[in-house]
Amino acid sequence: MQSDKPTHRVQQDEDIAREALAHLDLVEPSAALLRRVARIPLDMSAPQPSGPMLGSFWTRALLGAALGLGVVCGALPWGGEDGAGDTTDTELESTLSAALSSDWAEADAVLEESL
Amino acid sequence: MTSASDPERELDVALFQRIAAGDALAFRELSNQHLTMILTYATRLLGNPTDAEDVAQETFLRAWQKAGTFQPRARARTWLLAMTHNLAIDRLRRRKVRREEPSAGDDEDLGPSSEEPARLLLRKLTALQVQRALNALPERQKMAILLVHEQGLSGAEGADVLGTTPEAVESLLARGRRTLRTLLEAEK
Repeated sequence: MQSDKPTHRVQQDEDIAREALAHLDLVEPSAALLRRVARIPLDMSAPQPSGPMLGSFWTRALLGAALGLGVVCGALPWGGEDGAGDTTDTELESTLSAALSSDWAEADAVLEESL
Repeated sequence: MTSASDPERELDVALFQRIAAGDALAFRELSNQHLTMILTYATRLLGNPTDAEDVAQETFLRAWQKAGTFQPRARARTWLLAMTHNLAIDRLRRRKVRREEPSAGDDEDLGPSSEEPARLLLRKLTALQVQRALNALPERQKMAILLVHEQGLSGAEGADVLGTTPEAVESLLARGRRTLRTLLEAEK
């Protein structure tokens, strides 16, 4: 009997809350709001692409375009006018290729020479 | 809890697929089904009809734009209520406005016109008392009570909207109901 009291009280609280809220009327939208909502599909562009498939398609397309642009730019003879730059690039290239080759002694020699 | 094969959920998914494809009629169907519910919840939270209408419009604007992100496990009602909830909370935080008393506009629709004037007055007074008591509740308790007892969400759905656990919602509900009862008894 004693243990039923809190449960009974909780149930009463719930009943009272439900009954109280039943007294509140729903808020009906005004004519202006109905018009504003009805205009959304007319005023706005089409919904965003649905799901990750289309999203990844566009992401891939953008990445592909960026990579393609990079390849094209890389193939162009950008450094033709700057002779000093060419020399430095050549030295750097040979140093790097030597350093990356298996012949470390040769690489050290090249490094010393370049320094 | 409802199962994955819940017919209402399947209808919701189909409706959102149509909206995501740009079907304006499907969007109208969605707004016809849920606009009153969304506006009611926004009004209860914000206490200001103009702000509530703005939030309701913004909710449907986002629903149109983000229909493609609708998750099949969700229900339209819960999904929309979660958006409304977040928009209303943002607005409350931004403006730091205390909820106002319900305006005259909220009381215009008092139900069937055949009711006697005395009965209408009583009904209006009771509604005002309930609204006042609700407004006196801590915000989260009020939200939990509105979502579960007015909007008819389950505890789990209410938890989704509030961004918490079903257990936390149960706790909010228990405390909220207790306080509401005390407040309403004090009004008598």
